[in-house]
Amino acid sequence: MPRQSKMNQVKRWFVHNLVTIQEDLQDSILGINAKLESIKQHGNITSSQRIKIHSDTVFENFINSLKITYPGIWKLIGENCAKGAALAYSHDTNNLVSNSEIRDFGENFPEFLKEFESVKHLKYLKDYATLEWLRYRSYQAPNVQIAKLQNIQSAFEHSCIGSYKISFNKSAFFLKSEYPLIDIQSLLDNPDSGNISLKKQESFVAICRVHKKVETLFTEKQIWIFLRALSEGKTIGTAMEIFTQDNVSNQISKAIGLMLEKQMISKITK
Amino acid sequence: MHDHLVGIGLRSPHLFQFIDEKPNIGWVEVHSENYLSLGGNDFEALLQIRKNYPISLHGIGMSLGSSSGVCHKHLSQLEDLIKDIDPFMISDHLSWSVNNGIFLPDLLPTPFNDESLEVFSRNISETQNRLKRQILLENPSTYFEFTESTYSEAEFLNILLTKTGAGMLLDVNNVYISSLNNGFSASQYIDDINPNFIKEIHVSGHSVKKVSENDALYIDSHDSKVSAPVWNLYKKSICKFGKVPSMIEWDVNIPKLSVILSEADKIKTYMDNATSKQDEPSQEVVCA
Repeated sequence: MPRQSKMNQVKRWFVHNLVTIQEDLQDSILGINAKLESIKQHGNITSSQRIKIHSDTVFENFINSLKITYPGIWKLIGENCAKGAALAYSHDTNNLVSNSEIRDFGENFPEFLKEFESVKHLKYLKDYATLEWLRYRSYQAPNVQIAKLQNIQSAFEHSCIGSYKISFNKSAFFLKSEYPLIDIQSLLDNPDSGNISLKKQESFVAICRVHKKVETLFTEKQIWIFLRALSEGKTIGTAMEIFTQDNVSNQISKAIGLMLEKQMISKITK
Repeated sequence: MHDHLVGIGLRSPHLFQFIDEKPNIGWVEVHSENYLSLGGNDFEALLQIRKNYPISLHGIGMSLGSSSGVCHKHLSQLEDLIKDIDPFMISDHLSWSVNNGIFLPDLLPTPFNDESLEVFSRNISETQNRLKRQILLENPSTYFEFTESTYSEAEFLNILLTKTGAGMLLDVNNVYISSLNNGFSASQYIDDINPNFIKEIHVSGHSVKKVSENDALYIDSHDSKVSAPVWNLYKKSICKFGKVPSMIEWDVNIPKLSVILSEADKIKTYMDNATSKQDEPSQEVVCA
């Protein structure tokens, strides 16, 4: 070992500044590397036993947080498997967040499940987890003013309606899946309803908070594409291009009706 | 008689029942981090509760002991919440949770020495300047002490609070379990704290975890009724510090609201008894 490096090690042993102490404690708690020389010995209880109290709390809190965000995943794969996945997820520091982003903890869990050995054969799991993540985000979304019906009606009576844009309520999210998420939802709501079909069948979902409750709306493909285009900032005219000429007014009425009923529109602007 | 001084930690499962029943309680405390999004049903409920009750915002995420400093984004979110709630107190812990940008959901201990003093002072002052008000600092529950400590916890707090002008939230359960885990006198700790700092008291339940045949650690679990020794320490505290806002914390295995309120009634009883004794000069106030 080079002399300088050896000197640094000796120095490190004697001089524990706060940065080093906090780094060591964090590593020990996360199980990365146990450096326990700063812990004062008292009685017969070892430093590892004392540190374990913090490790248990930290990982229990991570697991509970994921369980709250992903209740359906917990039911679909069972408590033990879900806990195992959550624990593995929490051990990867890339998945951890800062204190100002604590509400974002768990965002990568759907992607993680896709690769998690014990459940990666359940192809639909990632999409169902994404649905749960969006519901969680919708529940937490800031309250915003909903556009007045009068303003929306007058905009739609305007001859240049095609150039208008719609700002969505921040609780509105859109998700597309290759799997029948509605069937998975039914199974979770009613466990006696049957088995999940693994057959690919597209789902088009809108999630939004209406009257203080998060709703999951399974919509028609064209309506979903229209809403999604609007949510991405496209004008009503551009978004309308999805509809074929023979059903355009019917489909637009349906889509607008849905947005109004579910209080999705926060602003309509030219 | 002291209803206005007695509060409870109000948690999500009880928010709507609390709104409906409007229990006779002086104030409520909520965890700031649960409301930082300023949205959702729970936040709406909190705004409604605020119309009838003073609210204290109790944080678990400021990480005032982080050597890397306080998180400005977190402070900004807290600032927005304070604007909406107008809390009568804001508190966090003598602990840290963030290192290298990673938040660990626990209140981690710190050595009590000059370097920590400097870090806490800087972070608390920055926080108070940003929020334009005093914050309270809660004494931690600890499972070990550091070889680098050069002060006792009470000494450290007295110096820190003098330097920063922050107040103290005394958690008597934390004093009790830390004293057992680390072998110091809980009673002496109460004696050593400068009474001028105490602005709020927490009481809560704890659990015991056996770590070997003969040894156990006392855990700050907030999952049960307050134990008799902790009530005794509370009694001693109000004798020494006077009647300050006091509340029950219950965060795990949360029982019916009525159970938490009946624990809060015990605080009222302790306060009333302390008053009656203090009002009768012929009677000696027993604080031990």
